[in-house]
Amino acid sequence: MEALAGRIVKITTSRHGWWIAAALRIVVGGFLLLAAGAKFTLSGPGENGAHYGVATFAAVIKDHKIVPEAWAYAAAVGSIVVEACVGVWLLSHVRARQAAIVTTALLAAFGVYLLVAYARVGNASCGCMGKLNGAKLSDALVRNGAMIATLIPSMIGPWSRSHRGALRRDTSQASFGVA
Amino acid sequence: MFHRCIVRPFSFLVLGVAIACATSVAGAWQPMNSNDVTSKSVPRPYAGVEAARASWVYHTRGSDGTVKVRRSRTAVARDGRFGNTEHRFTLDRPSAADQFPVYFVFGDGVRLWSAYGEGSRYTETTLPKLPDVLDPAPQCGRAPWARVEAWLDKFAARGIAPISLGNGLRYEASDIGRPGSFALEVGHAGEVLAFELGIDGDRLRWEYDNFHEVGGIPIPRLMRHITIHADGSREARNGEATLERFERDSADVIAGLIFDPVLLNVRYFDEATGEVRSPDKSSHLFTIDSGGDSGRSSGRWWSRAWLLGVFAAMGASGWAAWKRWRGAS
Repeated sequence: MEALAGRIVKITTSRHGWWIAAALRIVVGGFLLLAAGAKFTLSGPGENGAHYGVATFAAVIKDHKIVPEAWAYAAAVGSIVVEACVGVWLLSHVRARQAAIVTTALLAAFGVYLLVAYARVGNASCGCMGKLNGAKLSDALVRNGAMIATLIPSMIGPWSRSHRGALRRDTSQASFGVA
Repeated sequence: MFHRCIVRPFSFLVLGVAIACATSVAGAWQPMNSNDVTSKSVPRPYAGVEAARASWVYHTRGSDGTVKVRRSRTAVARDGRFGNTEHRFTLDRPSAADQFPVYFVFGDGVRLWSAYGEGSRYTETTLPKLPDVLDPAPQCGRAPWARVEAWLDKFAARGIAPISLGNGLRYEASDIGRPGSFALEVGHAGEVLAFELGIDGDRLRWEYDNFHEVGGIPIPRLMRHITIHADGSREARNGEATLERFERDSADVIAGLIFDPVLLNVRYFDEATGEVRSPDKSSHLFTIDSGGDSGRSSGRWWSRAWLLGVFAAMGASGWAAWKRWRGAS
């Protein structure tokens, strides 16, 4: 047990930690971009007939009966844009920790939305992945939970900084201690 | 003391459970064996909804590259509010044209118009004589309610008794005028819960959910299309929207259906060139690929390009991370 704990500590404090966290960020960031793109190219009956993209996703949002109908289109556009932006931010590795926190907050907000939608209309389609995946609301909840878990390493102090940054910080702390 | 406090209450509990079990078993057993529930005694909320059924023609390009003319059937509700949208083939790979979403289908009892937002077809068809078979056209998936009345009549005419489900009744037939079997499930209020088509050991099942009333007619908003393969594996497309676009106001609908394909931006398929053109024939939109490839994919080339873009972004991100990591180590 102690050996296992020691190994975990070793991994979290090693320079591999940042790389693992970065890889997981790439997975989540790519997935968010994929979701945004899939929604944008979604086909199906929209408001006034067959549509591609945002109008169809707006129709899915209307079906969830949470957002007022007049706002459904704006909500669809907003969620696609936010998803894409957050995905790009995660992929950029710039301020990785903040990106992970913002993404987690976003996914949590989506999770709340999905729960309310589930309560209102049952286990309907979430429309999250367009035609790539006809996931239900419950599937989307599980997926969001998994993505949040995937981002945890990026929020852990040592893992959120590159090794050089961590070394620099450790060195400065050490020298502060000596002083 | 022990007997009064422990044994006696438990004996009542056991007795209560036994009575509850017996009642529920008897309740479940009775309708399953009774034939007094027939199609005629089931509420018919969709009575008179269907105004027309029609065969209509569309074009597909087969695997050998030749353009084929295919016929499909559709059910249209009175005043054109409810029409089906989906037509697909289960024994073959869906053709390019099969994958195009219908823009609208409208029938006035004599003629039928159908138009497609993405596809190759704008048709105006004179309605033929209706086929007299229990034909569960799979393309009714998006709007089955126009056919429910006719299906129930067919079951009643054959004297088929329903099987009781927890939430309604199920009718089954095997001789349906085409290979396979057909089943219809309706709720206690007559609402369509599901229908099922058995083909070559597979079962295609359409389930309906999220009902709301339109003019007193229970219309489901969501559809689940489930394919149950012969080996028991399942594929499901969940929670797709049913057709609702004509539910708002009949007068508006009728006014809107003074047909103007240019206004509706309907494409048409030029059989001679194999191209899909805009209504004014001035612009070539895309060519349906030979080899049975999806016309949508060639018309919507970016639908693949964006996917490549995402993977490229992930790759670039990985490369940047690796460089940064190497620089740090």
